[in-house]
Amino acid sequence: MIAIPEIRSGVCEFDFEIEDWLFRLAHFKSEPEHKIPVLICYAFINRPYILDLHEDVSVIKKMLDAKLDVWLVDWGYPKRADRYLQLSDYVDFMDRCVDHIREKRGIDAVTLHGYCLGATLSIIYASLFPEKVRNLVLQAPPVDFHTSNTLAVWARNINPEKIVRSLGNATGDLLNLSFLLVDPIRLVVGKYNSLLDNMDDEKFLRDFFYMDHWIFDSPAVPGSVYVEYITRWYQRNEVINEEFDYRGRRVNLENIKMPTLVLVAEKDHITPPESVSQFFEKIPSKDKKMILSEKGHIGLTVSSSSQKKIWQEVIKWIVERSD
Amino acid sequence: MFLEFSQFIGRVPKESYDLLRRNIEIRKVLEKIYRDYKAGIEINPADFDFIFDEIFRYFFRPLELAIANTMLFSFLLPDRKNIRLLESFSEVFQTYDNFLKSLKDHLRLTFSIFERDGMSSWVEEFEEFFERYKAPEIYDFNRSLSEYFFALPNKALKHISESFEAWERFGGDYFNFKNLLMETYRSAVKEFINTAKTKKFESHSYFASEFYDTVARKFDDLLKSEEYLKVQNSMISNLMDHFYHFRKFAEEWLENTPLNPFATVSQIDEAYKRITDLRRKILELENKIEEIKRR
Repeated sequence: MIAIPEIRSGVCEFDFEIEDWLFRLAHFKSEPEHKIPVLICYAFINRPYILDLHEDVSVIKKMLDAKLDVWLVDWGYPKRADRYLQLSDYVDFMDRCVDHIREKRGIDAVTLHGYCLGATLSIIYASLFPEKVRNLVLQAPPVDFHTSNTLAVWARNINPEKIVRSLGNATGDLLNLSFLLVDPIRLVVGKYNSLLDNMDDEKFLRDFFYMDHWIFDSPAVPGSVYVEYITRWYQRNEVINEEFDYRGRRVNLENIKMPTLVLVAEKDHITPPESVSQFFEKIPSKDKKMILSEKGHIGLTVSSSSQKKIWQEVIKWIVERSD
Repeated sequence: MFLEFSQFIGRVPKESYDLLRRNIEIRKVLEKIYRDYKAGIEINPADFDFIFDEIFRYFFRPLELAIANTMLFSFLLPDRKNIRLLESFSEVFQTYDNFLKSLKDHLRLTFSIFERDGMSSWVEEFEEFFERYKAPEIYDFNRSLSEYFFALPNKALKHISESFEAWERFGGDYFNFKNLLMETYRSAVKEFINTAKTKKFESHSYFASEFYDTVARKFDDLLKSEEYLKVQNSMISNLMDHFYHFRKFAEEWLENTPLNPFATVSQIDEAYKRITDLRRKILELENKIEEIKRR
């Protein structure tokens, strides 16, 4: 018999402090000692519990152990009823969360930690509301979308309006298929071959199936958001060109003056290092740092070496700027 | 290696289970090819085709389902073939109708004989039964069947035609897509076999690793090529057009049927749009109120 683990993701306890239709704000239970809270803004593709996968792989647990006050935005599982949400609605909710935390904690600004497309949203937010962002942590951030990786090339060559007109939302199944087809041999064969080689290794099995459970737990992307993010980000590259606007206000990267930490993965086939290098050069922040990992997009979060080394360094950086 | 598959069901994602099973089969085939290679038997490229099928079945399956499922509905299309088919159906039904009328006359005659001989009169009850369950004289079902397309609203006809045109284009694109992937794979197999002639693979894992690297590199190039992008884009566009126009066909039909109690997807989407816009307005107003309170 093979020891298939019981999959129950999420180690750290939390409460929802705001529940607004689809979106929620989670607050992790802890006894923080540092003044500035961390608000994690994950992507609207896949689920945020990758940051709290299990007992041995949990970025959030490490933050809580470092006595940080940790909050997280949950973008939920969009249904057809949500198909007309827009990117501006996501930024609205981020602002609502930030204001809630500021009021509750009696502070002016938070540490905003964005991951993948959540980092893009965080950059937009920080450029529009810099007074509310004390520190900015960007994990695998796509800012310049005109990169040469397969996913970006595909996104520049599709018609998202037709997809949304037909399906309503960009469904989880469609996204899953696309993410596997960008690299079919490595992701469909290579990965499972390594599983077959390690079927007797309980730890390997546990890590593998926890990851697979997360990978295939794909919420849909609301139709209008999908159209916007493909056309305005991937195709027109509005963020790095500072043409993206939120309710008439344009993104201005000159406003990113706060301490900024960027985590980049060398083998990231979704947000390669080239998607952030121009942004990093451009921002005027005098306290900015880039940490480069030799892992991939997800390995940056979950690999043993990242858990042991990179996250120690990241959390240390945050803690030093949290009082 | 023996695996009790039942232990996976419900405990791992179905995609993991599907891909794991495929990989077990792939490994078996590749191990056999390796054994032949070690034994000095010349590698046959066709032996690798099974591996291609197992890998890409995962991606082809939903596309093939789209083709197969639509074939079931092809009778809805207002083309000559279907009109002829419906006309021949109506002739069959007309013939059956005539048979039933003859049977009715025959039975009436038979019951009349029994009535004359002093037995119960079944004639009236039989006539009443027959009248109750036959279609009213004013409605010619058989003719309506052959004229079904003319009863459809114009927009419905337009959408079903566009849906099937898109479906046919999608079918062509899908086979181009499949062929592109197959050609790339076979080219990788050929390259690998040439490598295997000059390189010595001491273990199966080294053999497999080199094979997969070769194939992966070929696909890295293919998947960003102009040709692939064109085929993929066309395939997805046509598939989405097919779905969209089919749905619109059904919606036009429903919306023009007064007895239909159901809202269509488009009608519900319109409601969702209005609700989302109103929600945004409410949030805006709430923010303004908060701002005023703070002053």
